[in-house]
Amino acid sequence: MLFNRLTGLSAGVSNYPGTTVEFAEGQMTLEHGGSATVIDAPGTYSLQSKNEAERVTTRLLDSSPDLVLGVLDALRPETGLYLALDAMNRGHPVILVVNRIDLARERGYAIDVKALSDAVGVPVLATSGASGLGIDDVRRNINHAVSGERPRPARMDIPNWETTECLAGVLRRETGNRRHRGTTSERLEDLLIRPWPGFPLALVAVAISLGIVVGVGMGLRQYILLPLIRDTLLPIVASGVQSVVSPGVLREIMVGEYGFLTKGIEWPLTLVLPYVVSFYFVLSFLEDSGYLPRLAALIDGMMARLGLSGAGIMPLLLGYGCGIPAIMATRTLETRRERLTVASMICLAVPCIAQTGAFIALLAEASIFVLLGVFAISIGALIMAGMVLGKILRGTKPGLVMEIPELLLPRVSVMLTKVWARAKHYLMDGVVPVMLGVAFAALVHETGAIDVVGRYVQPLVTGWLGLPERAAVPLLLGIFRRELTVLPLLDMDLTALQLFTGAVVGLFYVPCIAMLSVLAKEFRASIALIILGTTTAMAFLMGGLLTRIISLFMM
Amino acid sequence: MSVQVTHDKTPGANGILGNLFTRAVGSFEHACAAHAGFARWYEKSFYRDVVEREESMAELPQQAHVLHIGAGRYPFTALILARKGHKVMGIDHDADAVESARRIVRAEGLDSCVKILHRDGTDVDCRDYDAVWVSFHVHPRDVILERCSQTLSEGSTLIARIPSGLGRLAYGSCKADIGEGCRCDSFKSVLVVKGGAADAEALAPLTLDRVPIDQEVHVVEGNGHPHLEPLGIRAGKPVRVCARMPVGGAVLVDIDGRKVALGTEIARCVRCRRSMAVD
Repeated sequence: MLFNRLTGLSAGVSNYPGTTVEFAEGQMTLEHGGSATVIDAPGTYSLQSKNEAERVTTRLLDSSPDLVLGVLDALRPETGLYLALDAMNRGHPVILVVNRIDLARERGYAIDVKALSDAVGVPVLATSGASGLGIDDVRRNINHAVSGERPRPARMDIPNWETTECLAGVLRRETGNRRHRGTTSERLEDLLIRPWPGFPLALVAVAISLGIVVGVGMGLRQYILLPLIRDTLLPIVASGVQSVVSPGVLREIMVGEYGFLTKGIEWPLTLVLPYVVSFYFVLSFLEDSGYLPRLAALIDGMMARLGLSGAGIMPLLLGYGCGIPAIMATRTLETRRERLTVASMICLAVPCIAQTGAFIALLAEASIFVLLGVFAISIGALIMAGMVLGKILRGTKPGLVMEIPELLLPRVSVMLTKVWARAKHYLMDGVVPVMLGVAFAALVHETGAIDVVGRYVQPLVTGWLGLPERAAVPLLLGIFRRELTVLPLLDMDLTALQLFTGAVVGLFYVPCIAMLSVLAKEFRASIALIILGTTTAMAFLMGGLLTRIISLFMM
Repeated sequence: MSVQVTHDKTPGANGILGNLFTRAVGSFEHACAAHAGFARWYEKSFYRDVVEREESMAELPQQAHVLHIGAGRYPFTALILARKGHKVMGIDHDADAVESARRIVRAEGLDSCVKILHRDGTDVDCRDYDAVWVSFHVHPRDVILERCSQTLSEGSTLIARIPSGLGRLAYGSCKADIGEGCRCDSFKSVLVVKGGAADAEALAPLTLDRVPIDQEVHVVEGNGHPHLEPLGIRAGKPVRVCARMPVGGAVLVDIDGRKVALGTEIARCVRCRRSMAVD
């Protein structure tokens, strides 16, 4: 929040440790015209750390910045203070910023920044990121430090916890007139984290979340986006094109039955966008309320059976939105083995929200059970994948050490900002590839190239999966966007079984190209290739097997 | 040496479940006594590893003198230790079991190394032994363990098999903590105590995964996870366990109002001691 105040940016803020896994950069204007680059480093507990996110911070410090702002939480100053002392010990110029002082005062603490400043010999400032208190003071000090003499402390000893606690005592003193937090929220915190009724409540929370994602998404589609896009915008586009382009192949490709200006706009905007909005609404509520770490603590025992720690649940949940931030989020996991396991699980069997939107459109109309069936398979496959990878991959088993933040009622404005950021991201990066993909499909279809392609893939698609030849095209397109494996199946008049098969293949099928490149960057290219091969093989294997098994029962 | 072992008086502890379990163990040993081949297979594939692990924790000298309390109908532990060259005295308070055990020892040709006596564990004298094994299902366990640690001589080792997991349901958990002067290891459900520590308060090292809920303890030593110290889990800090998830799930602790979830494996490596008198 302090970073956003200084730079005017809106970097994501969540109520749990490990939100930031990559540094954020912003510019801050200085008094005399120049500007300074402000870098927000991932939160860290120590500079000798194990996980990738914390290593990012260590590397940033190694790049010898002009100034380090050590931000302390006024409620528990010693954690940040220890880090700051460590940074001073390494010879960095440090300014200490004590944040959340308003909250500390409410809890009955007096904060004496002057005393701490005298004790450590560097400027100590008090702020509140939420209300903006003291931000100007920070700016002034940054100005001063960057342009003039940097605050170089006397060479410090390697900090130990005793001196740190002692210094924290200098900074903060209990005044006694403590105002207690609402007892209801404390009570709720306790209930959510005890096994009883924490577990049932977790199930309820997941069920409600699902309900909201699907319900709100469908509502948005039905009452806002369909009337707006399909009934208002598309006819205008169609008549516009029809008046310009003469009938023929080109016109069919543009506004025909599968034209990229009709389906290519309708699908992403009315089938996917509503669920992008509803999903990120729910996710940001869960993030900002501080419920996710509680869920991680509850589920730790079960995740341990898969060789993972409870912390692994967070990237998995993020993966139901989009695989890319999810794979980035695995940086907070401790061991490489755990990172790799979770990333592979996401690639294999966690459908992103765009694909989920397509599933809902494709399957819910046929039967809600088909939809539930696909998700049951997704979860079953996740567990299996975890177990198998737990056996294959070597490395130490991770242990959970996770701070549980206080429960907060999320602020609507923050949530809306997040939802808007994700929706904008989808509109920018998601819609155009889908339009291009639909255009490609229409081209293949209209020019008759489908027959040629169909002949080559016929044994696999028709023979093994029992799908029409036309379904080969979405399989080709799926590498660009995951929803493209599913969306084109919509208008093919498939039977429930074929829909199910198509959905299962789509579920396991290759991660999109963007995910593969993130995998290659975060791990290694060979790992991305292995995942690509495995998921493709799994998709065809599972699709074909399930078709056969189910048709046996339906006979 | 003063010892405190407290037992959970959870309903069902040593009740129906405990009875059932003891009976199941009894009939299993019956089966072993009747089918030598099966017993040998079981010994090789399972029991030997367990005993070898315990043996290495006990750091036994060559040809050690070992006492085994609750030797059972088929004295696996005694046989395995005897095959490794140790002299074993096994006792059991069930006359039938003693009879059966003697027969098996003779059949295995180990009667020069293993003696089985019909005795009660509550009044044993451990002075003359290098190591004392206490079985999982001895009763009353707290009395026996207390008696053992009182009579154990300096440098000798007590190996007690403590119920964990499902066993805890059947027998009730055994909680105990230990003073700082006493060297001890705990591996899963076995605890090892060296005799002769001057101020040993009790038997098991108290680790965070075993602290009763809502009781305040002080951290003695963390396990080196880099996040523990910054989160306040440091030597000397008071910690309260707020909740514990079932079946090997996380432990939730409160340090100075800050809540932290720890996986069981991590919690097991954080040693604690009970807070002294409330001040």
